[in-house]
Amino acid sequence: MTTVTTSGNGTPLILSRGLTKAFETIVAVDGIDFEVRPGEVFGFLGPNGAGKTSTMRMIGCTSPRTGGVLTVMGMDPATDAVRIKSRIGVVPQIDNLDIELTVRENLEMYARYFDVPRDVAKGRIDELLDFVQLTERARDKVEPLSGGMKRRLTIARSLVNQPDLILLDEPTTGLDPQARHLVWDRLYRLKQRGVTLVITTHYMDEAEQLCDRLVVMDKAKIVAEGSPRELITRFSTREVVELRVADETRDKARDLLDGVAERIEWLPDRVLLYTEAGEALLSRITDEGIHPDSALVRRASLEDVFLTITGRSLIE
Amino acid sequence: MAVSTRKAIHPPVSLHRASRLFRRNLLAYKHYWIAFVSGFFEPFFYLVAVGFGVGQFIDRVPYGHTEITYAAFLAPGLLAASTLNGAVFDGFFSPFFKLNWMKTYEGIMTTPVGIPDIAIGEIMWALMRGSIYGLGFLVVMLLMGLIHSAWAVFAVPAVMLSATALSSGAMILTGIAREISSLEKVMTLIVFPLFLFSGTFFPVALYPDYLRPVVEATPLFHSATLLRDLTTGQVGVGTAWHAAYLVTMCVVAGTVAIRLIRRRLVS
Amino acid sequence: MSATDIVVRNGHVFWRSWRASFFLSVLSPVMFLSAMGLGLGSMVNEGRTFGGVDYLSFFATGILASSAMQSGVFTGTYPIMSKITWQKNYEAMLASPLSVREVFLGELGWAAVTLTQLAVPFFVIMTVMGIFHTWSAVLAVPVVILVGLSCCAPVMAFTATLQTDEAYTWLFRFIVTPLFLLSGTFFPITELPAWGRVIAQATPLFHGVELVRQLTIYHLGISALWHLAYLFALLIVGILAGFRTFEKRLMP
Repeated sequence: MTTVTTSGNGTPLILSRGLTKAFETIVAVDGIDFEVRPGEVFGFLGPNGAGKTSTMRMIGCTSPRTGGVLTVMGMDPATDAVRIKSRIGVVPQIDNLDIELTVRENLEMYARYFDVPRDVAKGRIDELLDFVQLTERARDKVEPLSGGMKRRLTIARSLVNQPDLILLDEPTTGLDPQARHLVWDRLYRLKQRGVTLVITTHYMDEAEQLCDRLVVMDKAKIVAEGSPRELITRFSTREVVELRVADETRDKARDLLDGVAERIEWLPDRVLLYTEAGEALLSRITDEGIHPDSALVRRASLEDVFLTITGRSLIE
Repeated sequence: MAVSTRKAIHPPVSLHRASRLFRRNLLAYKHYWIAFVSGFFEPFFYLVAVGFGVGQFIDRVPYGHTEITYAAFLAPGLLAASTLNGAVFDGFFSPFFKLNWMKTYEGIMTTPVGIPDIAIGEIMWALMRGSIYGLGFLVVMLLMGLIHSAWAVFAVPAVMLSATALSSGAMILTGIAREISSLEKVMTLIVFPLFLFSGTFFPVALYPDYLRPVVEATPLFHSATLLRDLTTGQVGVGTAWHAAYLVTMCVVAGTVAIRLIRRRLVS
Repeated sequence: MSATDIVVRNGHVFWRSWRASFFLSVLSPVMFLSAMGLGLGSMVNEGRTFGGVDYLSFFATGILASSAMQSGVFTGTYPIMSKITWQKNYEAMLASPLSVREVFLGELGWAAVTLTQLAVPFFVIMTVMGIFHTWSAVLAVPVVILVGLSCCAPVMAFTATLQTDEAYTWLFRFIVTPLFLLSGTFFPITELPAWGRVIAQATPLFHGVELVRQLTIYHLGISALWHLAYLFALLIVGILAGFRTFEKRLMP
């Protein structure tokens, strides 16, 4: 369906040095550097307002940058926007499907915007509708579709021109768990076919599941980069013990827990103890006489990475 | 390194890409054909009620070097007015909703179709609709015996010129208006006064001297007078001036509109 | 909670934008009056009178009634559809002790306020222009409000049966506009062919226009009672229909 044309052997598909986007009152993106290699799934992880969407819009040539270098497939968006656009697909954060048209007509019009020849378009649209499992709804208007279906349609739409690169801005935000998994599944298949995907998200599970490499963004800057595994190893321990402690016993617990783990994070509703061996730590704690209301041992996640780096959690 | 913010976010117009917008509207209108068809009837009703109904009580109207019936005076004015209605709908109301509520244009922004293409495409659509209504009305006029000259053949391109000029003007409003209250303001403060006071229903000669230049500066006046000159055969130098005004309006209004809409879509 | 609360609630919403709305809703008829009444009027043949008065008076009195008709019809369309279908204001209101009938009457009451706000300035302007010759002209104001309401109620009832606004295109293009143009506002219906006269006399605007003219520029006759009866009958039928359709729609 989508054939892969890389721009050379390992030369980055997207290159950014000192990329900046400044508005009158705020700086949305403050001099970031990153590279996206052909065939990988690259992620921008960060909370709302970190600058992810602004970055995506600059890559997608819908917003001019105010500073720095940016090349997409070897071309500069400031001079070659039309050519770049014809080779990428975009799945925006908020759906902007054409609600005056049916599902199928949305794909047909997109094929025309991209000058896909009619005979080719027809077959391709059938395939795409099948790929996102919307074939039965092809004749329906867009509005009555569920959020998950609209998102799948937007994904299908972004594939009409067989792009080498797809930009997805928060692809599963606002979807119920079932819809999320369906979208992830489709994206995973695209990845298997060698399509380069750039995803922004504030969901750590999404980032961990899909991304080969990612950068963590906070307040318009990049604060960390690497694969999910690398980041967790570098910024966190392997395991985390989560405790819920009753308010009355909190202060006493503070004294008792001091120094018992490599790092301790006190959150409003729980305590996080970072350690290499969670079960061992937990039994030691109970031996020492601390009885939390509830306890669980889990693997460290990107949420913990973010917490370590910025002191805040990903989701406000 | 500072980067110019002009350039390729703003590619030049391509008629080929503009026609995509046209095609999109065609596809969407399949679902609204009633509105499409019924738009024809309104000027016809006005012609009957006012042109013939009230026209009974009015003597022949002096125009150019001749005198014509009131209905023959009113009809080309209504023709121009119906072009205005179409232009406001296709150049303002509809794009306003697409821009602000339905986010249709945002969806197109990530494709090679650019903003000038979108604006020109919408104007092309308005031109097509206006011309169809205009042509239909001209046929009605012919059948009712209200056309008195072979010059009326040029009324067809004149209608097209009017439609383009007026819809370019309407698109300026699209670039400016942000809330839904604008719709009523536009109708009451712009469209309605134009409709009433452009020499459509009665000759501008009836205005006091200090008001006449104001009326003669408005676009619908030129449109109506151009069409009237052509259907009554009273063609002269003035006719060319009216056409020139409309051509200028196309160019100027179109450029301004594209600039304003660009500011709304690109940040 | 009661119907007056609806009026008050609408008043709150309205008060925020009253200046603009007032200006706009009065401006249209005033513009229309000057263009048609003065402009057209000055083209009408010298000495041609309409029941003894000049065209401007004839036309202005017609416009008074027809503006009320158009305003009444409009008030029964989009604003109501918005509250029923799009923004679902009524759902929230009905969770309170308010009954559906009270909602309907409350909206009608609000329509009356809107119509008054249209009729009074218009009336004042026409008085200043010296159009009125009899004391009974003052009664034109409540009559005009009645015309608006008797057109509003059935339209409101109709709106409650709709899911989309498609039907409005038909309503405005093929009912309101011809009614406006051919009910005696622009020219006396005696100029219509016989079949046209019959149809016109069955419509509310005709009765409204006739009654207003009798009160203001002509003389009151027995037929005034018939016109009044027609308008009241239409209003009552509209209210009863509205009770039915609103109940069906809002409390299924």
